[in-house]
Amino acid sequence: MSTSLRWRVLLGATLVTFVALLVASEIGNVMLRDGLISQLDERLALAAHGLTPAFEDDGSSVHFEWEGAGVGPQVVFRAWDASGSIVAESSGNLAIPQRDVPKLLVSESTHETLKLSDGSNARATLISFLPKVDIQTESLSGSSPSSARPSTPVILEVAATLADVESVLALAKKRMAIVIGSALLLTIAVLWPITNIILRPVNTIAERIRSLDVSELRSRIDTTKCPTELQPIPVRLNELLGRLEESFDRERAITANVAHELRTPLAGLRATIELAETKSRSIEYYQRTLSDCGQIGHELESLVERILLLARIDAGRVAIQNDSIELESFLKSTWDSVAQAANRDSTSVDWRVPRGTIVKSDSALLLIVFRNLFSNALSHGIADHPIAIESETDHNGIRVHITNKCDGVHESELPRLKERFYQRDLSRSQTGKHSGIGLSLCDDILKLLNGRLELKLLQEGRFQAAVFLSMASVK
Amino acid sequence: MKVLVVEDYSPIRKAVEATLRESGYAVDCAIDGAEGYSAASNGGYDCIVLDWMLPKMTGIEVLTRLRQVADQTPILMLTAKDATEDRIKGLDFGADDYLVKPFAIGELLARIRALIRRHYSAKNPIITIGNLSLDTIAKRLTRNDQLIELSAMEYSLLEYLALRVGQVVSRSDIWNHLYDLSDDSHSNVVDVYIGYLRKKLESDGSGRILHTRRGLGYVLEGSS
Repeated sequence: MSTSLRWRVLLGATLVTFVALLVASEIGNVMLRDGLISQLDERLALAAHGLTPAFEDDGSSVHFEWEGAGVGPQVVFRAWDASGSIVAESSGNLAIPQRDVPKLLVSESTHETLKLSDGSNARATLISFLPKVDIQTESLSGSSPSSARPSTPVILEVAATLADVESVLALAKKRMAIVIGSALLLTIAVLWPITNIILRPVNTIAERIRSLDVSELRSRIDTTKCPTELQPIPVRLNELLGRLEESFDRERAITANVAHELRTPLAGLRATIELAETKSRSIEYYQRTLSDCGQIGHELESLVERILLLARIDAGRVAIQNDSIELESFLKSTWDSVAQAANRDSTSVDWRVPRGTIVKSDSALLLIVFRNLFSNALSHGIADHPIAIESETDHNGIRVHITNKCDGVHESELPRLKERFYQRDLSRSQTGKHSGIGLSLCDDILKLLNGRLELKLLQEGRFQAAVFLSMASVK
Repeated sequence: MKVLVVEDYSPIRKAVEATLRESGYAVDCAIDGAEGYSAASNGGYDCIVLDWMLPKMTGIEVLTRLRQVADQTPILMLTAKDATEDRIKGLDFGADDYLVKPFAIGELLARIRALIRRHYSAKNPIITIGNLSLDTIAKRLTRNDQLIELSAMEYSLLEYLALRVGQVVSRSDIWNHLYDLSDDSHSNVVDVYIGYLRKKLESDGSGRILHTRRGLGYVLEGSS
């Protein structure tokens, strides 16, 4: 239940309704109590004023002469004169508890809550007034009214129990509880279908997400008719799916390319061996076959090595060893080995690498880079055009440029040349040698060595590959 | 039978060429798409083994162009592309069969044989013409249940005529299908082999089965 959004909304809304009704009920209760007490106060004040004519001052003391009916059920009173003596008091079991005479000026009145002798809550009204003077007493003494002793004030307290008020309030509370309970049930009944309507877009999106085929990354969530507040969910999810698809496609393409690059020499190897096995052949034939197989094996090994190196670079598992490399001799010996392997010893090279430049880098990794670049220059460069190999050092680092004349490379192709398995020509006649991972590998290695590979097209159809190594690499 | 192999990767090309030659096929090779298309356009091939990834013109382009000019030569795509969609694409563009590298040489040969048979509407690898039976897999000929030994060229000639049983086949047609471009011989050599073959077929006194249609060519016909 706690995981259901619908239940949560329902519970939350019901709780809010309950709290609101409870607060409203309490406020109503307080207001009702205040109203009832206010009415009671008025009634007590009237009763108190109704009692005042019964008080007479005969000159020596104050007398209470009450001839009317009682002041009312559950109503008690007590009166004090100025000296604090009780001059009158209601009869019966119920009485106002003994207390000091309240200090009150004449014509003042006040209300208070107190407990009666039986412990019940009561409301009391206190008034102070001057009792009337007994005229007969004045005539007998012969004094004129102006010279008569001024009347002493009487303090009268009239109290009534709060039983009626409390009973009304208790009844009101009971009814309010019934109202709240009914309101809560009504809330649930009304909210149940409403939550369904409110949560319909959420359910729709959830349904769309649920219906996605997890094995099909091309699937997308339909964002039409999706509420604005929920739009980011399908939009972001679609973006995520897009990126996942892209990443899986790239992974698949690389796997397919690797498989393709490996399959062709493997097919050559298998066909050559199977052909040799079809019948008994001459020793020369077997020797030639073994040599062919050895050559294919060498190409395969080179290809696998490069693919493994790329995988190790991707996994961050290539340990870099810093060697001090004298650049000129390093480049020349690398060139010699590449040219010799390609039977291009006679290719003219325009060397402009100053002697004595020391580079601090991983010689094994740099060897792979320059072998690839020199091999590319020989394979793709136009024969009879010299290849320029030069270096320049500035405050940023060192650049080794390899420039060769090359037809057919377009400016738009340059960014793609560093892509893995990018083939300018779909030919696999160079399988094992030019599989489309050389420049990608060089680029990755140089990034690892805090350098970069820069490819440029110069004027007159010259192609330039530049190896940049940062200043930290130059001694 | 003459097969064109269009493959840029030399070890595969050489191995397939040698295998086919040893199996009695005349073989021409091309190392790129343009050369392959040019050779295939001249016709005369009973089957083309075509790589997909080729320089100058891809295998698919060669295939498309050949089918556009209504060339019905059976084409077997030989490629490292193994994805289902690639196979579908190759077949939809008009390839008759698809073989993924690396492959078994024996399977390649079997597929080529099947393609050639299908091309000549011969579903059964054992072709029977009257009392003559030619096993195209074992490359074995019997007449009246008697085994007849044939040379590779005699076998190829008989197989070609047997696949076109009842049809008159011209001398140049035979020559085109049995000799590759590297062969220096002339079409007259066909007459010589027809003579050898006829002699062997009739050695047990059986009737003539290989007839000459003067000015037209030769026809293999047998009474059932």
